[in-house]
Amino acid sequence: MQEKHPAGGYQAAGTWNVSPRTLSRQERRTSFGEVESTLTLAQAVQEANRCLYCYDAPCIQGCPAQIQIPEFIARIRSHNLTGAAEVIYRDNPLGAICGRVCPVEALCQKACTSCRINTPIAIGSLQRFVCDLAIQEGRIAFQDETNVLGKVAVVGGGPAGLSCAHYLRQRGCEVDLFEKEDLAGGLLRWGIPIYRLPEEVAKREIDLITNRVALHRKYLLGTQAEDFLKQYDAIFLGIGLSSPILLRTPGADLPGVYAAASFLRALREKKGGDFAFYGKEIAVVGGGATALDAARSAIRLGASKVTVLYRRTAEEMPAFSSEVEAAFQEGVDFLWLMSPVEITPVDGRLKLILEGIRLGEPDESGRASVIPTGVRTNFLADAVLVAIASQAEPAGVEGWMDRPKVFRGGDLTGGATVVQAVADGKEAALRIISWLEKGGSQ
Amino acid sequence: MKPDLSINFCGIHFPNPYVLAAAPTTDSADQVARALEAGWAGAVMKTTSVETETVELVYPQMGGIELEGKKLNGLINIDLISERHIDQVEQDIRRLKKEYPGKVILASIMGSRQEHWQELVRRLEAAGVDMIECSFSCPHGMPERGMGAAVGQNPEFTERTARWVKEAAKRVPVAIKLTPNITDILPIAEAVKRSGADAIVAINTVLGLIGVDIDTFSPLPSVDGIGIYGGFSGPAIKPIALHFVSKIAQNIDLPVAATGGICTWRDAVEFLLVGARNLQLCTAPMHYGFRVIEDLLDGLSHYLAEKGFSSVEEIIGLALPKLSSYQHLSRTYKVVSQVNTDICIGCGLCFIACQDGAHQAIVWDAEKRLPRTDEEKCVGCGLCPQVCPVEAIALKRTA
Ligand SMILES: Cc1cc2nc3c(=O)[nH]c(=O)nc-3n(C[C@H](O)[C@H](O)[C@H](O)COP(=O)(O)OP(=O)(O)OC[C@H]3O[C@@H](n4cnc5c(N)ncnc54)[C@H](O)[C@@H]3O)c2cc1C
Ligand SMILES: Cc1cc2nc3c(=O)[nH]c(=O)nc-3n(C[C@H](O)[C@H](O)[C@H](O)COP(=O)(O)O)c2cc1C
Ligand code: SF4
Repeated sequence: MQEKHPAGGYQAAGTWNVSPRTLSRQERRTSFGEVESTLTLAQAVQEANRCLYCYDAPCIQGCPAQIQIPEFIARIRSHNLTGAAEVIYRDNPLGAICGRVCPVEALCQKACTSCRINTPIAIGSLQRFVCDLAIQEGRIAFQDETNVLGKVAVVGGGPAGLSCAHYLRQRGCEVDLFEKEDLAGGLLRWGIPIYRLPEEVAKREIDLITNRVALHRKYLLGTQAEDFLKQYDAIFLGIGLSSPILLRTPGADLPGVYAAASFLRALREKKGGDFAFYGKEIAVVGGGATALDAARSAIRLGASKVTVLYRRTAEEMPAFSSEVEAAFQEGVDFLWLMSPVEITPVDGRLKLILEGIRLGEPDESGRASVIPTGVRTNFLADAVLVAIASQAEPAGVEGWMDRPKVFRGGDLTGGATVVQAVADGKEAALRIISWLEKGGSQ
Repeated sequence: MKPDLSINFCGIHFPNPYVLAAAPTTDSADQVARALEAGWAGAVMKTTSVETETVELVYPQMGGIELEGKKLNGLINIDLISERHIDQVEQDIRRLKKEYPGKVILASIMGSRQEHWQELVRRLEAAGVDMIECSFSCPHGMPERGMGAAVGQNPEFTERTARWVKEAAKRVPVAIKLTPNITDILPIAEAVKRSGADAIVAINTVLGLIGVDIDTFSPLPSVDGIGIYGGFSGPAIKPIALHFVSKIAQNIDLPVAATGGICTWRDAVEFLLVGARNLQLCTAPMHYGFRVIEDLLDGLSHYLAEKGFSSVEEIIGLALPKLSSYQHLSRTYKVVSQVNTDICIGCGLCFIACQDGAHQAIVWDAEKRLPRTDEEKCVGCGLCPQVCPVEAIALKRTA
């Protein structure tokens, strides 16, 4: 017997949940092909019909960028796909990217009212559907205002910087975008692997923004910071945390021990061949997005065994639950409550000495504190990928971060998702605009 | 270039074709103000009457028709005209015309005697109304008193009453709102034309009984155990409304405003294509709120742009030349059903529907769970694409 929901009614018959086509476990172990496909029109309309079109919808509160979710879903329902795309792009210029990489289970879909009677509406998949189609059919062309409100330097071409640049241009600001790399995109380009975010998808939405600004590539902001303060009416810093922190245990500098971030970057630069992981056993140290993507990538390179070593338990892992789930499905192993204390070379392989951990009272970060138990075990691997943390590129900008003209956002200010970076960039742009309108430029 | 959504109806400029129909959504100036802010072009204030008319409402008034999980496929109501008499509506109109001079405010009226109809018209004109709509069409309650549909079901009463109103209206156009609860609409529509009225609004609600409570045996909605017939509206009545609107547009030389089942911009386009110059909505904004106007507007706008039209005026009536009679349909045109096995999910619904409800022309591969059309047997009746849940079946032309 189905239980009656307190709000009345039973789970609606004839309204099914749809799911996109997904690569099989075997396909995922042998290729970097995108795991999920875009919904078909029929699927999208079917799913859109399940949306309750809530008043003051909670899903919007779950979205850092505040996309008017029920409005775009209503437009899918009425086959107004251009209107749906406009609703999304109004609040998030990286709609197709976010439709793929957002941890929706912790954001909009977590808040969806339908969770109380059924599964949440597949908001991420619907967003991806709308944006993919709009971009494919060339229906997205941003019209910028032409009045020159001021001149702004945006430093860092990741999602935070791109979003800030976009909203500044929309309101007619001149934008100089400075990026230390050869290409803009930040972790969209060098971090998130292509089986979740194909290069072409990232490029199309990034180009729609960079085409409208003056892009200065291979430009590392450092000591020029003081000049910037004189030259520009305002400055936005979205430089992320692009420098990986390495292990400090003895042996951390041995050949075969890599920063997972560098590994992921090499894959995006199509230099995966530098890592001969085929048939090898790989250890990954860490429990965040980088660790999980490194592990899933190693599987795809044909590693025979991939083990994630994490010092707390699955509960505390900062990685998104959908990622952990996918890694399990693909055959990644996990060893909880373990931390490497030393790495030594043994017969061309690496021996990790792992120390057992016990969880204690929450520390100042709110997570359970880590107490070494003194129990040690050995763990053998052919290579180690380290993904414990990142920090901002040392850039001589520390001293002027808090100046009134200087705005910041994204991972640099504690964000951890693409959509948070987008939201921060947008909010900063709006603050800069109101600052300029109040004559802040003088 | 954004297409021009504005439209001329009876010489009045509407910023777009969407108007709130006379209903609970228009029973106060505050509600209408919110709707106009949201983007509606105008509103017909809920039907009003002279102060001496007694309007006694009963509750509950609403019922819905459920279909496979969606409850409001159609709405029934046993509401009557507004409890608010002309004195209050006059005030609403003064305020709304002052605050929203660019929007269109219509008033809906109902009377039982010539003096009442004419007094209502004079007072509304003085209050600044843009247009008057006469309800000859409320299907429940009012006809028992010789009002509403009792007028609209009789050509003679229709013509006479419309003349009274037209006589009194010195400044503003008069539209007559018709009932669908009649066998042939044309004699009534012709009567409206003869009266000299300026436009027709079609259709008001369809008389119906939404259901019976199978535990208490009370018809629904149940007022302390007793029920009556009510007025049926919303998505379910769209085909009925399209029929009446197109028929009037084809046969009567008067502009038509459509009402009845318009919920999305797609419905709107269809009504424009069969000749409507104005679109009145009631159930959709009652269900989801005034915010539905956003998709109605931008959906219509994108549609026009994608089809290469620069204004909404250009599409009015484009389907009418293609609306014909049975004898003119082609006897040589032939289609057969075709299954796209890449999309097919193997539910077998097309097979069983054709097997039991059509011509046994679908062959079922039980092993692979795949249907295939036997083109010799298929007459192309078009049942199977209707039952396919994933659009895997299309009709292919063969002659
Ligand atoms: C492997 C991995 C997977 C992830 N997966 C997801 C996911 O699935 N979903 C999700 O929402 N989030 C994910 N994240 C997090 C997400 O990528 C970040 O939160 C987001 O990219 C932060 O954006 P940002 O603009 O603040 O920084 P970044 O994306 O890091 O961009 C900063 C940019 O600034 C440039 N820069 C740095 N210093 C300077 C300087 N001094 N001068 C000029 N330019 C400079 C950098 O080159 C870079 O282009 C993942 C992160 C990683 C590492
Ligand atoms: C609750 C309710 C009350 C209504 N009251 C009136 C009214 O007072 N006068 C009138 O002319 N029509 C009235 N109608 C009819 C609507 O104006 C409209 O013509 C009809 O509902 C069909 O449109 P729809 O399918 O968009 O709802 C009412 C409809 C409903 C549902
Ligand atoms: S919370 Fe869920 S059901 Fe409600 S509007 Fe948002 S997506 Fe639709």
